[in-house]
Amino acid sequence: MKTRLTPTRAPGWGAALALGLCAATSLIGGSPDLRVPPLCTTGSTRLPGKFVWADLVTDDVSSVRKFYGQLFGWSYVNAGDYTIAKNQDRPLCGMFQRQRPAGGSARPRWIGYLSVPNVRKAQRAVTQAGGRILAEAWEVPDRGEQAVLADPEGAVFGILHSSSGDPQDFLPDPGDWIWVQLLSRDARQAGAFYQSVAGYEIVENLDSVRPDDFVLTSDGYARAAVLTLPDDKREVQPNWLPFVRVTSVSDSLAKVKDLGGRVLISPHPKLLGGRLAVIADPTGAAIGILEWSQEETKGER
Amino acid sequence: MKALATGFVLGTALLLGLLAFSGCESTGGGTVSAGASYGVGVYDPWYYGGYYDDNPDIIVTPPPARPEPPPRPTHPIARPTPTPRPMPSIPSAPRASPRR
Repeated sequence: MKTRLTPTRAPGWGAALALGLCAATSLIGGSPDLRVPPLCTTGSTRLPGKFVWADLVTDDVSSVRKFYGQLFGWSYVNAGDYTIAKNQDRPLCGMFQRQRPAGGSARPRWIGYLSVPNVRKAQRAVTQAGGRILAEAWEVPDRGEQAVLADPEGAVFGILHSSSGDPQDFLPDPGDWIWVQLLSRDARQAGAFYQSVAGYEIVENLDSVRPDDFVLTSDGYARAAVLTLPDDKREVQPNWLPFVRVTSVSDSLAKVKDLGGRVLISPHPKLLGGRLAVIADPTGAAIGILEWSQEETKGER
Repeated sequence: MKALATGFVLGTALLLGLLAFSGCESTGGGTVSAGASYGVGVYDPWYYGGYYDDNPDIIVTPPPARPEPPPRPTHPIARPTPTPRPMPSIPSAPRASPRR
C-alpha cells in the first residue's frame, strides 16, 4: 500500500519516524561501544609537539592484533569497528580495517598524531604553510578534537587536542611509543613547516651520519627526527615512521618472522649500536623498534 | 485530531533533532560506524611509494642520546669551560610504579 506524505497520513508516519529516529540516534552517538577511552588521566598537562597517538590503517585488523599483541604485549578493546590497543592498560593507538585499493601499490601505514593546543588554529597554520586538510577537525567523545592533514610534501599526520591531557614525559616503557621520524625531501623546510604548526624548536642533528638532518624539540625534549632523503631515493614518498620501545631488538626480530612479519631494516652498528630496526607487520605496515637503556647517554653502550 | 497533530509535531521535532545531532557524523558520507566517526573514510589513508625494504641505504635515525654532564672544574676558582648547548634527548624519568 502506497503512503503519501500528507498531513492526514502524518500521524502514523510520524510515529514510525520517531521510532526510527530513536534507533538511529542511539546508533550514531549514544552506543557505549562506539566510545573510546580518554587518552590519559583527567587533568594531565598538555605537551604540544609530543606525538601522543597513532592510528593503523590496514586491511586485516585480526592478523595485526595478534602480531602486535604477541610482539609488544598490547591488549585490545573494541569501539565498534575501531580497535584500541593498550599497553599496561594505557591507551596507545587505534586500528582500522579498510579494503586495500586494487593495483598493488597501496600499503597499510601508521598515522601519528601530535598534540596541539588548538586544533582549528593548527589546521589554519597547516594550510597557510602549504599543507592540506585531509579530514577536517572533528570532536571525538571522551577523546578530544582531532584532524588529519598532509604536509606540503604529502606526508600524512594527525593533530590532536586531548580532552584529558597528554601522556606525561616519562621514559617510555617497553611496548610504548618511544620515537618518531619523518623522511623528507628537504628536512630544513619540513622542520619549518612543523614548527609553524606545533611550535617546535628545531635543532640540527649533529649525531646524524648525514647532513641536513634535524630534531624537533619541545619542552626541552627531543620529539622527532626529520631526515633528508638522498636524491637517488625519489621513489620513497615523504612519510612518518613511529618506533616502539622493546626490551631486546634481537629477541623481537626473532619473533617477527614467526608472527608473519618481515624485517625491513636490520640492526646496524651505526644505528644505536645495533639496537634499532624497522619491521613490517603481516599486512605490510612499517614500524620501528628500538632498544633504549634508561642510562642512555652519549658515548655509552 | 489533536492526537494526530501531536504525533506529527513529535516526529518532526525528532527529525530536526537528529539532523542537528548527526551533522558532525556526516563527514564520512557513508555508513554510520566508528571508522567514519574517527575520520578514516574521508580521505585515502594508504601509503603509495617506495618503502624501507626497497632501499639498501640506512634511512632511520634514533633519538639523540643524553649528553654527558660537563666536567667539574679541578680548582675551586677555575671557571668551567663553556660548553655548547646540548642536544635534547627523549624523557628519561621512570614512570612511578602503581601502588598495590
